[in-house]
Amino acid sequence: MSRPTDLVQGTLGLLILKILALQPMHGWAISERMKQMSKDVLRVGPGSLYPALHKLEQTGWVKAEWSVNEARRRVKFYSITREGRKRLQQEASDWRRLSNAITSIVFES
Amino acid sequence: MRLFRSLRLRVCSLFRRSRLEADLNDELQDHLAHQTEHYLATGLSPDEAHYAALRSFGNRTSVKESTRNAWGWSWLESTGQDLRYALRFLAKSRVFTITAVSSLAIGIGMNTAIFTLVDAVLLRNLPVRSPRQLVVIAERSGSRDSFSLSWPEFQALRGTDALEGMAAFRPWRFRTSIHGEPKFVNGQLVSGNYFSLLGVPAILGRTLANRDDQPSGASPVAVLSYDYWQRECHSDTAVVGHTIDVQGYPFTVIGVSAPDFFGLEPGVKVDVTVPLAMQAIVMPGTPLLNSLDAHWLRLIGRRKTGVSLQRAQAALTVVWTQLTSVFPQHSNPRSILEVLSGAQGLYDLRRMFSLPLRALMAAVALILLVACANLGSLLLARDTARRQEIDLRLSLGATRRRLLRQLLTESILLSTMGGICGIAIAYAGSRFLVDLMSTGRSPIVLELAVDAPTLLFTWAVSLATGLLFGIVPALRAIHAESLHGTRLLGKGSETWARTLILSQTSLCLAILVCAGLLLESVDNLRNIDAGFREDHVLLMSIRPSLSQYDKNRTAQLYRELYRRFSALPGVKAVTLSMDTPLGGVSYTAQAFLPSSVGNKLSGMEASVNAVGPRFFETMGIPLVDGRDLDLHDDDHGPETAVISESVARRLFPGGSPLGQRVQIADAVMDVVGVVKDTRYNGLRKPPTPMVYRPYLQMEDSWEELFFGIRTFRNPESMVGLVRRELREVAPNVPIFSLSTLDEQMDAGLAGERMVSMLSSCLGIFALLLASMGLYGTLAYGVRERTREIGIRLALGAERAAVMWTILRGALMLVLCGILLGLPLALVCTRAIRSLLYGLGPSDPLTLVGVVTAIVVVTAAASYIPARRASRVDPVVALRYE
Repeated sequence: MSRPTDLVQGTLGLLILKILALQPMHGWAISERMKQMSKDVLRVGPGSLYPALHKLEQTGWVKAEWSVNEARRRVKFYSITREGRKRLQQEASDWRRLSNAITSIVFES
Repeated sequence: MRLFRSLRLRVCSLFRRSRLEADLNDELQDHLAHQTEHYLATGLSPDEAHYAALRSFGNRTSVKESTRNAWGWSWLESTGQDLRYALRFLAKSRVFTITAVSSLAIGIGMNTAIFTLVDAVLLRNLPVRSPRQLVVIAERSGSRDSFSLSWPEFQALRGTDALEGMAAFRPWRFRTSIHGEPKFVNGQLVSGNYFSLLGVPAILGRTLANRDDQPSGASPVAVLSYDYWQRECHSDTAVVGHTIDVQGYPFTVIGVSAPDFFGLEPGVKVDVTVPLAMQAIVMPGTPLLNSLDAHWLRLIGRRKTGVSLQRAQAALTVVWTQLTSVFPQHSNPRSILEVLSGAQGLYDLRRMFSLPLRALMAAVALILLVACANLGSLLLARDTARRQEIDLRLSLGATRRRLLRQLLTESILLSTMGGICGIAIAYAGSRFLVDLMSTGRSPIVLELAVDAPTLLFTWAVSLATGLLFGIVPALRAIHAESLHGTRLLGKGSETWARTLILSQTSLCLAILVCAGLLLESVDNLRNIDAGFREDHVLLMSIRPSLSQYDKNRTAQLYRELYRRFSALPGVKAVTLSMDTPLGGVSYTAQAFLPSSVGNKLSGMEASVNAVGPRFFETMGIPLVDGRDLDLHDDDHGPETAVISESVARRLFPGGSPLGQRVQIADAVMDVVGVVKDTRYNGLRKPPTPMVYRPYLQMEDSWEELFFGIRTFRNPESMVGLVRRELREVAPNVPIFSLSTLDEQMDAGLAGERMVSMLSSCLGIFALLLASMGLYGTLAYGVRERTREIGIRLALGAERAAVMWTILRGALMLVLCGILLGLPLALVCTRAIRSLLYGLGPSDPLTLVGVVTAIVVVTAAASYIPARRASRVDPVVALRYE
């Protein structure tokens, strides 16, 4: 269980939006939080994370700010926008419908 | 808002790349740092933590690239990269680039040039309203078409129901002056409805109306062309109402016609238009209006919408047959009326140049094929040579698609450069072609529009070439098995290269054979003994009657000019005549013996030329018997004549015609001399039987007489002196026409000359291209087989044998190409057979000559690579990696 499956790749955007909806944070923190919230099931590396983040930034669902932390290092913080929240709601409900449908087929008793 | 922000980000990412790159770097560095901290916290040493973090991070470059892709401009970036790389590569291999670009440029450029010309002469519609509705009327009797009809015929035909209307026009040269010295310009007389029927508006004032064209005296009004207005009136907007002097008579300018209208004959620009009713004034002499005999008008009609050409033809034929039954003695009952499409205007230019231009289009299309084939083989060779580079890039992770794109970018860049250079060549080429078509006497003025559609066409052709001929070699290069670069990419591409060379050679053969045949024909034509000597003769004519000179003054003027010209330095002989050799004949009639009982029937058709003293000496026509006409043969003396040999043979067989008498119409003349037959009606037609009479005894010939001046040196050098003398004697009589006998001879050969000259150039060019292609392919082939050659040499093969192997291979290829090209050559030569003279389309001598030339040139091209092959140092070759 080391690489995210294709299924997760597709929903990466949804996951990132949800995490950022809880709290703005920078890239590494997002990947750590994701690991933690999924109980170590979902691990996303920088090769998938950053492209997804920048894509979200481009489409405007997420915005970024540079700030300087205690160690005098530049850190880029991402936060969700209003359109992002709307998008999150929609994608979340889509996901629920989809996963319910799949579950009911695959686990038909 | 979101859209705006995302757009802004995208634009930013395009322009502030370095900043974004730095930011991304920082971000990833930061991630790494956090990861390291995390590992430190789990108890690893700083070094171990650092390495663990790096390991878990993955390929940093790959991450960067994925992120960059998300920025959305990657395709633009990679295209930019491709372009830069392609430019660098092309700049490095200069020979390849120059060869490829120049062959494409010439191929595409010549195609565009010929196409522009063909468009202007053959295809383009007149710049009038709905040109497709227009029809021209011709009278056909037997196999001859005549576009000239008479005034009563015009009146009868114009009312036909099937037509919206019909207009008549007649081109003429007017002596005009509006601000200054009088000069001759192209003009025309038209019916009142001319401009309205064609739908040509006026940009100043108005155009002619029906009321200007009333038979009773009419109004002396004139419409100027835009071109004339710009040239002579300097675009003066107050020109309407001004007086313009036409043939010495004051006309009023009523308007200036639209800018792009030049008249109904492509190649001729009409400057001044006056109503038909003014004919008697503008063409002094015979009144032609109402005359049933005079066929002087050209007709153009407009079909009603919905009326087809056939219906119009039928309707007009009905009227025509009625007319011929009403005036039987004035019309030829066997003639029929033809209604032809008038969309492109009148036919003269097209008739003369239609076949030559079509032939040229075909030739030039073939050249383009050769150029493209060359490009293909060059690209193939190049891609072969880059095998190693391609292998390396593939192994470093480049996708095949990306590589293909990059190779195609190079091809497209090459062909775009070729296309741009081609446009420059097209401009120059089309001007050059028009110059070839026209000669001094009647310059052809064509609007050559290298315009948007043409340019687009050119660009599309060049793009298609690049893609088509680049894609196959590129695909081959990329998809071939990655062998360790020793041979050409297998049999496939070698076959492709051979096919290209074969086709080039065949095309070369076809073009060169045609060129050779045409050159021979032109040479034959020029060498025909036309019965006169065309060198060093200046021809000049004036029209004194148009400057209000009466008969007496005209005779005086001619005498005076004759005297003055004869006295000029550098002049060998001077003469006057109504007709000049190869200049056509004006007057043909029956010549017969006055004493013979059957009169007209026992005679023969001959043309009459009114000549001055020393005509035969000036024109270089040999005197066979008797004497030349001189100043003593004037209106006081007996009527004399000199006849040509064919007339002498026919009318006076067996004995000398000297002292005998010959009659033409009412004139009975003493024969005082016999001269050699001369061609008057073109080089391809037989010599015309001529009767020469002294001009002083033929008053009606004085309308337009040509001065012929034979000079010791260049006749052009006499022009200034001639003008000066004329101006001194008759300041208000301008020169009507000026040329040389040489030019007149060339004019008749304009079409043939143009095609022969061009096809020779094209043929040579095609041969050069084929040789370059052969050279390139062989050179690369030798390079690829260096190891094999080295082995052979090391094993004891002789250098000469190696060279011979290569040469033999090349020669075999060329010979195959020639064999394959023979059928094509035969087809092409048959197509141009009507342009040939003195030799048939399958002239063996030309064929042999061309084949020899091709073999020699290609052998020379193969020699260098072959020699290089024989010079291979086996030690070096065997070490060659």
